[in-house]
Amino acid sequence: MEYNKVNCDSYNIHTIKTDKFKTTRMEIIFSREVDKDKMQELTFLSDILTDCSKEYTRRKDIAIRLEELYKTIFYGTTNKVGNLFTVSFILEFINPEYINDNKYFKDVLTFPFKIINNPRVKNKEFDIVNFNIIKKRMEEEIKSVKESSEKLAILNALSKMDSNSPSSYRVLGDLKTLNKITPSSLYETYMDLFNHSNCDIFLIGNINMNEAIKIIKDNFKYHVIKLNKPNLLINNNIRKKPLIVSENVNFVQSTLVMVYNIHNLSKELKNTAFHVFNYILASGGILAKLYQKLRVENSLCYGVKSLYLKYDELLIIEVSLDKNNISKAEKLIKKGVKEMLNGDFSDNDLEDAKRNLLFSLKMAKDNNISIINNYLFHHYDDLPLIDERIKLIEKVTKEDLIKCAKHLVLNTVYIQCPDNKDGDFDARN
Amino acid sequence: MQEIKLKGLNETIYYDECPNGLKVYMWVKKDISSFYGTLSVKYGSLYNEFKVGNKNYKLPKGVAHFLEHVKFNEDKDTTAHDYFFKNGCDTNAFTTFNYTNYQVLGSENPTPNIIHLLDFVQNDFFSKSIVSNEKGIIIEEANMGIDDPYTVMLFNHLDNIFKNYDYKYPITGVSSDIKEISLEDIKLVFNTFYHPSNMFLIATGNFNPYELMEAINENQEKKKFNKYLNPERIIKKENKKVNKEYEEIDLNVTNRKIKIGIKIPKKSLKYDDLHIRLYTNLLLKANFGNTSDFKDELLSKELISGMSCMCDIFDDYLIIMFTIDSNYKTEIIKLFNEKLDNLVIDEKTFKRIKNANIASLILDYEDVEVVNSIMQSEILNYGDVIPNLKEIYENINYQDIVNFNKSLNVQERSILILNPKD
Repeated sequence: MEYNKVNCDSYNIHTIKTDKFKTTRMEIIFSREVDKDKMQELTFLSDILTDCSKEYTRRKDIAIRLEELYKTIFYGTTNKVGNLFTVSFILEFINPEYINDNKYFKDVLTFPFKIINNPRVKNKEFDIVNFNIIKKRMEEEIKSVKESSEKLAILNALSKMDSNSPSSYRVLGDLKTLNKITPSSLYETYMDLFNHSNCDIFLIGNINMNEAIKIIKDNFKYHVIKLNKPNLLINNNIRKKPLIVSENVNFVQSTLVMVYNIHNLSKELKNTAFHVFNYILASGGILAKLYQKLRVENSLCYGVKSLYLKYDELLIIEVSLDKNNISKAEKLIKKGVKEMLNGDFSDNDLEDAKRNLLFSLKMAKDNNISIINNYLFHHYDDLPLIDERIKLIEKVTKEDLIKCAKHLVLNTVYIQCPDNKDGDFDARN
Repeated sequence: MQEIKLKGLNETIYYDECPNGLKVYMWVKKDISSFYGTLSVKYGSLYNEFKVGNKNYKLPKGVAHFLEHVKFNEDKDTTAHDYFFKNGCDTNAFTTFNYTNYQVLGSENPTPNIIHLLDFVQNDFFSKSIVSNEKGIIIEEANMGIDDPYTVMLFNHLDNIFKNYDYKYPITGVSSDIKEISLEDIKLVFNTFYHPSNMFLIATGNFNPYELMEAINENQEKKKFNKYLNPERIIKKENKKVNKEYEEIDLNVTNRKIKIGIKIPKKSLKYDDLHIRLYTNLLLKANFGNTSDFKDELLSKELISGMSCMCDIFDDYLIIMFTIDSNYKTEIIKLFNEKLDNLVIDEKTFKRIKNANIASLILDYEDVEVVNSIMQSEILNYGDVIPNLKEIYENINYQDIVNFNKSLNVQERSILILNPKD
């Protein structure tokens, strides 16, 4: 695998040459710091820009062209990681060596630029038909959050924790703000995206990279003054006493969410030891401490989820269970965390967790999306590359994990219960 | 060992069969770090009623999935997770209508890990306390399904399509079924169905196929199995008519959904299962896919915000299912009925979709999990891997699809409307 970075003044092209995959993947990534007021409109924009253009006026036309290009995939997406917000346009196509067509490589590589450089805009307004299709789709996506008890509980827990923290901002926004978006405001957002973002293009695959770079330079005229690298970290407030909130919803099961701050932990430990810590505590499947305590020893639940949000400096534990078992589950989770603090886990547990994480890292080397992701965060945050991370994980010690536990502070306990028709149920009793 | 060449895809499948009947399929990719082993047992949720010789058995629903859960216990203190965890591997399992699948995914020592997959699945340890402890966990898993509107929607729709087939029942069973399952039920199923000749193993990824096959043969030779008695699933006779033509239910969805199901007796189509699936997919893509005028028009008129369709064979019936996000049920049902009465495909569209599908075949052979899953489907649906699938696709001509379209009777329809509760 051979990595190169080409500085094109206002953007960078990162090429990763490898013959491991039958496809080539290109990600055009615009990035900036999280801005609550702009995320929703940028998400709308990423959708509409890949749904139509001046040349391809309907989604159907784009879909036909992609089929003609041997089932190439092209879509837009947005993502929030800590304080970094990205708008990405993704192209995945079959390597030219499999296609007997001289024009194919140029056609497929220029396709995304033809689309995003030529939006279906007239008089500084996006076309109303396309606009309404996307608006409707987003409206339903926003509403559909309520269909998943787990997703809803995590989002609500973060909102209760601190509604002003970027950690709680929803990429999709809400219906009230969606209704304020207009075809002309969307055009302003398009101009804003192209004038006020960092831009990086990643290419991974078995193609002639020099030719690819030339094609990109010829077709992507993006002229902005580069912004400073965004600060990815979110400083979430710490509570002296955890906030406890209980709400009723229309589901059969209850959901318990516990949000912990990871306070003042060093960057090195966050990049390495905390993954091992989380693996032993909750994310390592059925042998993890919390799985054992809640599922195996007490049959309280099917599974325990744990989300390590490194750049938000948060650890979220989530479990779906019967409402009568919430209090017991909460105590068991606290007990599990305390045991980590006391170093109550064996050297074997540590070595097994490290071995399993190393396996995941090695697997990541077989996946083009993971490889790009690694280079992206290496570029923005000096995240060590996979081979380096493997070496660092191997060095993690028991003391490192105890340090991780010392930096955990319980912030919020959020309980989502089924509607209580009897009116006499207290989830925590 | 046999080498099966996949024509036009430049891929090879290594195949062998153990003397006890265990079939082994291997696909090797040398430039990656991982391997993936799966052991499939042809026993799924539909098999709760079966016969062995003249004796019929009826077990509680959900027993296949229950067995999958407790199978991971190797003795009273050890689970398969303990072994795989120590070896840096990930293990999991799932149960479908027709089979149960056990998996190991890792990056080092493929042979011993795949051998252990065989060992834990073929191990006959079960205990009363393990069965009893597992009930609470599985009930919570089943309750997660009740809270998932898409699971509820699917099984409601299957219930409306099938009068007698058991596809309408959740694979996990419901709480009352799960409570009923006993240690004896589990042992009966294991002894009857978990026989090597009712299993197949697929290994994909970076390993030496000769070394692995030798280890598998050695491992199987050491184990004793009773004679396989060829148990048969009892399949109820299904009615040609749908169970319910129309129903509206209130569900925990935020936007109204419309489901349209079409029931077509397989024997009304003079094609094998493979061609039924290929032709139906082509026809559905042309008429209802992202490149179709019909979908484009519905989106442009804001009658729908999304729609998807799928087809599959359920024993003697081909079932086509549409899921549509729309608030305009009357208009949508009218437009779908009109469209279904006039399915068309032009030659240019046919060629484009066919070529795109052929490109997909090339791309499919890349990821160890995807390849493994494709092979599982082919073996379950057609009895073996298909070495000439690309050629079969290439040989489909426009007139074939026109003729298929003519023979397709899509009149037997079941409509389910899901209204938001609030």
